[in-house]
Amino acid sequence: MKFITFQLVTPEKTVLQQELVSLNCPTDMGQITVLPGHIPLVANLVPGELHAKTDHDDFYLYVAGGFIEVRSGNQVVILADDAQHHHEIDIKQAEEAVKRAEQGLKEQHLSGEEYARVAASLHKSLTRASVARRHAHRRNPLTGQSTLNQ
Amino acid sequence: MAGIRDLKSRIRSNQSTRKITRAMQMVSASKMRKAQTAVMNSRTYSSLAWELILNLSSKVRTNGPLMVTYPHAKKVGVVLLGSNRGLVGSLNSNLASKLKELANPEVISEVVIYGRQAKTLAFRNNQNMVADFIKQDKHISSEDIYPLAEYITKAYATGGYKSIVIVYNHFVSTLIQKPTIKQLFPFLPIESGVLPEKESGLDEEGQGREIHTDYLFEPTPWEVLEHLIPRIIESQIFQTVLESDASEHSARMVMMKNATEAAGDLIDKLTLTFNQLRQNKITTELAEITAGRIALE
Repeated sequence: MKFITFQLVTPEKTVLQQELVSLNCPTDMGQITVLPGHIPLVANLVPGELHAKTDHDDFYLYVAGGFIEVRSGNQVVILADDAQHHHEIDIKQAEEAVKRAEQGLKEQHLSGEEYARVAASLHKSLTRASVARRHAHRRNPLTGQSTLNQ
Repeated sequence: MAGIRDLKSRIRSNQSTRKITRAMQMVSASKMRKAQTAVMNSRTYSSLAWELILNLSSKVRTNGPLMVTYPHAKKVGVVLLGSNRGLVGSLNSNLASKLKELANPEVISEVVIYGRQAKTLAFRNNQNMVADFIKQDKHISSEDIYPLAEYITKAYATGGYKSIVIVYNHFVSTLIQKPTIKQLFPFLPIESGVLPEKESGLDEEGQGREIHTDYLFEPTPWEVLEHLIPRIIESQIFQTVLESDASEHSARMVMMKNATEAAGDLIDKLTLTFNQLRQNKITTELAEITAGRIALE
């Protein structure tokens, strides 16, 4: 079985480093799925949900945008502005962020640039909250360990 | 005896110096720890980002203004990352010697300054300063370097520069900081000559823009590259700023530690002399008293 050597990094840390069987991520053009043997590709990421599948585990993550690079030799690198595992997202905090951003948009005295920034952050917080809610019922994918214990 | 009083005041002044240097050492130690974690955490990101751009520039043939070399340009743009404050040992003067390495008589170098000490340094070396970006003393976030990144990107896109480099202190460990020259533009060393040369008159807003590549871009190469290159340049500059920050605090911590130790040694030496002098005085006094008694008998 062929695997993808996958690395998801943000400026703060390496969020995920795994051998995957498939990777689904949100790009400018919509969701794409990368399987082993994909040709080299570079694309912009948009805020959304990333689904990384290993042979026995699933990872659901929120990404805030960035780039995906598929290199030859089944290597995939994602440079994300921000990324979080679904179980790491504090739903309450995420919803508060949504509220704050909505509040910010209502304020009248935003310049064009500020408005764009707040709107973008609203979009990001909404996505983040929805990723957290969608997967709230799942247990944490402690790689390997949780599956071994059961 | 005047000697004794002198010594006493010198010991006291050394003790207060030691108190100050120790406090500064503690402050920079805590700043150093923060700066070091920050630099370590973002290293993976920035090195992967740099790999990406190098991969792209070697595989993608294009004549976008940021992806080509300008062999006829004479200027080299230098971004000098210094510290804001002194007391960092040879950290900033090391940068000066690196700067001199770059200063080839045929090329005109223009220096962009970041940090107050870098400014003094460029003044002293008669460098041609074109811009001075103010470095904040507080924690630096990636947004703080947007203006600098934008300035550099625009400067290179004008075609007036042969290359643009950053001169900064690379953080190796607490004890070792290496002054480094990092080339931002063009994306490959000039000598290898892999990048296409700029042909005049070809680039009229999308006209004649060609691209040959082994990579698949989604949605289009231009949209991806336009978004990607500035972001990667930002991440590279941000990383070097973090590196030089970590270097600064480490160097200052080490300097202050040395100063504290030196003050301690000096105090020990002075105290020894002080005690000897005092003992001498007591002995002389005793001798005088005994001599007086003997004379009376």
